[in-house]
Amino acid sequence: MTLSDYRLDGWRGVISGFVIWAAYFVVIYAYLSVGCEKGLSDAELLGVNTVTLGLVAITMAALGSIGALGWVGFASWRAAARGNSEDEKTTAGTRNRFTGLLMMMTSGLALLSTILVGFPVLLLHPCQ
Amino acid sequence: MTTRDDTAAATVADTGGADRSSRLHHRFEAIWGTPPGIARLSAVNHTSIGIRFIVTGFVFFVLGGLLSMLMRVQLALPENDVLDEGIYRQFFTMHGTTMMFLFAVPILEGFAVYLIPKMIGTRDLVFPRLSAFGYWCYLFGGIFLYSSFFFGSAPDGGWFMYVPLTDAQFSPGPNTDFWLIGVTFAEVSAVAAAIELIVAILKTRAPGMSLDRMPLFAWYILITSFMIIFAFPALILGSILLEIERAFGFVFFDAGRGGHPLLWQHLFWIFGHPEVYIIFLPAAGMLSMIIPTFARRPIAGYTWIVLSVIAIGFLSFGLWVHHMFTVGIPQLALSFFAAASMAIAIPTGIQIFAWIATLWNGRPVVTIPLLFVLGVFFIFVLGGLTGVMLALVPFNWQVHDTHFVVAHLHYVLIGGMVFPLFAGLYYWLPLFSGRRYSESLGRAPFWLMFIGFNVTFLPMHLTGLLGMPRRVHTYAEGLGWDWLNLVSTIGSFLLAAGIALVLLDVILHFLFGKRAHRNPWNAGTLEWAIEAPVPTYNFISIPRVQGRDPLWSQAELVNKMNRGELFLGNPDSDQRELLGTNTVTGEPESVIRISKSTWIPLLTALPLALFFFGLLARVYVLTAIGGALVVVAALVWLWTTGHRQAPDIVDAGCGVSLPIQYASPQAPGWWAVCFTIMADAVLYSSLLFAYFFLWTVSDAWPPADHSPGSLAFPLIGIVVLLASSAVVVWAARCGREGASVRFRYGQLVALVLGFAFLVLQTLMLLDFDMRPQQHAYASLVYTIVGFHLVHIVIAMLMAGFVFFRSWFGYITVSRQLETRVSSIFWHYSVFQWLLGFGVIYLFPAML
Amino acid sequence: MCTLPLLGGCSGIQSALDPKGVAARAIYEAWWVMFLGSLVILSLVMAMALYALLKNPDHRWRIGSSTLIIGGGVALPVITITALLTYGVQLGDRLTSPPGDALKIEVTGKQWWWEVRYPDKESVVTANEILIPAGRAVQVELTTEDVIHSFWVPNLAGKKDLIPGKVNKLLLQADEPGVFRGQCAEFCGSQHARMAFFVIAKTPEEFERWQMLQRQVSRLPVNPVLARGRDAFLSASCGECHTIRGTSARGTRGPDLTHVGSRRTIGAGMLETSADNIGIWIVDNQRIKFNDRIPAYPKLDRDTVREIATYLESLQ
Repeated sequence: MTLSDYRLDGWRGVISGFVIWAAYFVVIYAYLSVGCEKGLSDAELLGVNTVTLGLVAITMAALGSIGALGWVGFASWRAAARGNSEDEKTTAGTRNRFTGLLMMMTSGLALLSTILVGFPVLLLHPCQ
Repeated sequence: MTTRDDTAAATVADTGGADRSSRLHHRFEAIWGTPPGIARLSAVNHTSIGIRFIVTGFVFFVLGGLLSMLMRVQLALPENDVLDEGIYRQFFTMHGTTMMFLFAVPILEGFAVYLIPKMIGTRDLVFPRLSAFGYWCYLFGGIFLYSSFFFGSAPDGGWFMYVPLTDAQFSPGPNTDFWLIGVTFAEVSAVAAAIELIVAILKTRAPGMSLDRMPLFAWYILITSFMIIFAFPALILGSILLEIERAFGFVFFDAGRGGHPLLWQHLFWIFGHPEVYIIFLPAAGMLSMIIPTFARRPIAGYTWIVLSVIAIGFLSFGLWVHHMFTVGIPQLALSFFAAASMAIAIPTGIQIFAWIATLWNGRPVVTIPLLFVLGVFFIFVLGGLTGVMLALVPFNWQVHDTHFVVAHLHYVLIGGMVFPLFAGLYYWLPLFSGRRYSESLGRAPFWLMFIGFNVTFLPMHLTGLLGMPRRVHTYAEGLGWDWLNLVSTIGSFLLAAGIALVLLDVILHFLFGKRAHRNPWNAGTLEWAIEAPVPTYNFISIPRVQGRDPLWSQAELVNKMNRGELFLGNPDSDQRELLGTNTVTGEPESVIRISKSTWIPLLTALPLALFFFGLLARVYVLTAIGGALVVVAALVWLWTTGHRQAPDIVDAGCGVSLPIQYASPQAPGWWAVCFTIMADAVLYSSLLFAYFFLWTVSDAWPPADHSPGSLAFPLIGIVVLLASSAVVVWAARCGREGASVRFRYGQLVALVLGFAFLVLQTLMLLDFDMRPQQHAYASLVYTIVGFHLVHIVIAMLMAGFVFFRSWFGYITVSRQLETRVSSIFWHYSVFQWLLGFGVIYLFPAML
Repeated sequence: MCTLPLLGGCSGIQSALDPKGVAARAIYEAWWVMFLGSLVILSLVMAMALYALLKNPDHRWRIGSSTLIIGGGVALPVITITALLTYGVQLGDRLTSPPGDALKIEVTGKQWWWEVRYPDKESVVTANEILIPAGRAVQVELTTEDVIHSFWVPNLAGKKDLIPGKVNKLLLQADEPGVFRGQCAEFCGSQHARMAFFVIAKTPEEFERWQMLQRQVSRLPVNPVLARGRDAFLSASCGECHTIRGTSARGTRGPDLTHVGSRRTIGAGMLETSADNIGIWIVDNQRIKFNDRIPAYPKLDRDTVREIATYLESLQ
């Protein structure tokens, strides 16, 4: 089964993009706070602060998973929109189109929010 | 606007239908009506409760407004002495507290309680007793807070109650206790209403109302209610911790003994920022209903709006530190919050432009509600723009805690909540009164409010930039603030006059307004299918909907509905019945029978008031008595819920037979317990957050001179607890298979194990070598253990309860709801301790 | 109330819109950019709303709903906030990075006044008045002895909170010599409104001279009136709370008075420093600043009060 065939039903799909964003937000803030208070930022790897590296890795993971969700949403929306002939007229058809589209849109906005929250990591020293 | 109502006219023509409809009306009225006289206090119906919330909310609005007027008088001139600093502190604290906790949240919940069942096509909320109980908690909490004025010790630490100013050293009087206890009381009400609204929206929508057909207001309320569940527990926990610190000398916030004052700020704002959106979203939801009606076309971008509501629901939890940009947090951490604070402009912008697009592509009629909408566009957008400015960290350093922020927050809250609320009030008035407001009378108050508001608050931006801090009871002459303050005070009187005229207009319209018939605005959603003023049961029969605006697309709906031809149109059961439907599709699943009028909610809230009063007065005997009475009342409440003789399968009309909720896997009670556990889990997570936060900022954790006690008791405790869970699983399976005797034995064994665990935990605490008064570490260990023990006691009460319910035949093979509820709570409590054990015993060992 | 001469009609000495320092000016510029941008956006939204409401529907431009929503609700905010965020993050970083030669000053907040220490070499202790050399960066280290306060001099920089259990740092730099008023910005109880202070920027030479003077112990009384004033000060146990270096007064709860006469105000910005005002303050401070930690001394006879006041005023 490819990613495009994967389906998340109704409300789960609709909120999962932002659930990942929320988890991402909590994790980077906690990681940064603990990392700075407990001296993890003193170490460097390849000339980059390890806390920064960690933050970048977490951000990448979040972007990847939200992107995947967005793709699933897009695929379900397109599938429902194309629909087979009987499906198109039923309420199920319109409903799936709605949830698919909404899943794609929430993932898109969650992706945007993740980028906005994450890009200052590249601009600043983590602990000053 | 010329109104025509073809469906209403058709109903009148169809006299045979009218007779039948009127017969059904009397039958349903007999079932749903509230008894007269003093017994009205026993009402539980959502229409009555909603109106009570709204009226009480307006009373507190007026009180909070009066406080602000007096503050404006004091600030009109430099070095003024109308109010002394002590009174001024009490007034600004109570103004903020009133507007946030006693006006904005409850009145919007009141509107939701009133409107949601009507909009989604059901007859009542699913837990009517809980609605009534929530109202009493709110009322008593409010009275509690305001009673402090009679003792001259109203709360005076600011509505944000920052420690250490509010701790026992710097605020020894009862002022802070009034706040902590009164606000917690009112918050119980908010959480109760939130859980109830979620279940109602998910489980009782009219047949055919799938997620994509829900009225937008229901989406807003659904998301807002989830936000309440995730936000309010943080402040409830914070308040509990501060009260324990004040009353018993525990340490959470005292930096000298391992606590930290920033812990309070985090807990407060994790609640406090979502709170702003909890206030804004329902009001915005009203706009999303009003605008399409007066634009005379369906809303533009329905999906976009749902997206924006969901996005705001999440993003608003990532903003809290923007209230703390000046406390000394590293730049990068600040930037996360700055980014989230700015990102929320995207969904907010989407909403605004969806509203504009609706008007643009419609044929709008400028009525009074739409005038208020226009006011929202100006005021709220301006407030939103200053909000983006405040998210710019360096700018925030300059204007934080100045009158600039006072201006900003009033633009956002009055523009985002009061103006929409008034638009909504005018819009839905016909449902309340069966009358229409006067278009000509309502215009002057609007303009007075709009101009008064801007004269008051627009100059305040400048006052703040010119250097005037907030929360000052006076200011020195000649700093350039004198005329600005005078202008603001004059404006505030205009604003107050405008608000007074609106309220007067609304009161007068009840007496003199023109009679309104059904659906005076020709709106599309189900609440307008109901005759005005609304009958207690809302719908004679429940329609099946086929679109987002059924009144626009389904011509025969009202007639069929009134002839009782649709779902639940038969009153023969003599029960209050709702239709339970599928969360996603809205297809019928069950019939839900709910409570009639009863005194139980009031009789539960009264001892709860005694419980809180005991805490305030520090007479803990009263607390104990109150607590015990609450438990008794709750047991009576639960025992009288459910009908032993009710059939498992009920005729739901339209040729459909459905299981009754006790026999349905989708019972509302099950969902409610899940959401309650969710709220409780947030409360517990906040407590664990406190532990880890203090660990992060500490030098030594646990403190150096502490030696962890023996592991014997806790390890035995874990074994006992896991065993109890296994027993509960086994008992539940026996119950499902019909072995009710073994089921009851299982409950008894679980009770014994629970009791053994209580003893073990007590021994463990006795073995612990620090007192909670010594260090924050010890305070947290005691609190985590104590918090969990309360859960075990509740789980044991529930086990005892299902034991007797099984004994008396309420729990049968086909009726497993109560077993499922008590089991899941048991397992949840056990899981809580697994986490607690990890935090207390494993985590320090890992360091 | 005689605060007017303190401010001398100089509105603008506590204003973010009259920047006289590096940080304040950067923020001021950001404010103007955001203000003008907001004005444009607000006008745009209002124009569209009014157009949609008032223009005859048959003669409106046709714009699809999705175009409006994506253009106004997505594209507009995304562009704006991305630019703003990038700018803000870098600005914040710049304003908090101290140069190597920054002068260090310690400020401790107390209900309701400010203690100021210059930790270089022999330390200088003063209150409610911070002298700084113009043109040089100053790193203020902020701590509190009781509740949370916030240190704010709008003409020079943004604010920073003083929080128990924490040392916060704030960077100040005045372009030119001048007098700037600051005030506590975090609600700190009864007299929160009356916890003001002054930052006075001097030329580096003047600043050096001032520091030299402040390091000295208090001046000895040069006449019998002042001597009587000193003795009365000591015998009324003022020394339990106040320090006057060079005498037996060693208290630390109240402000150090060694050079109180050289400061512009007393009572954290309440009164201009003069012998008369010091006398009024001693007798009547609870009326002027209710709840302040200094007790009122209504029982001291007028002559003693005048002598103490004259003595304190002489401590330049």
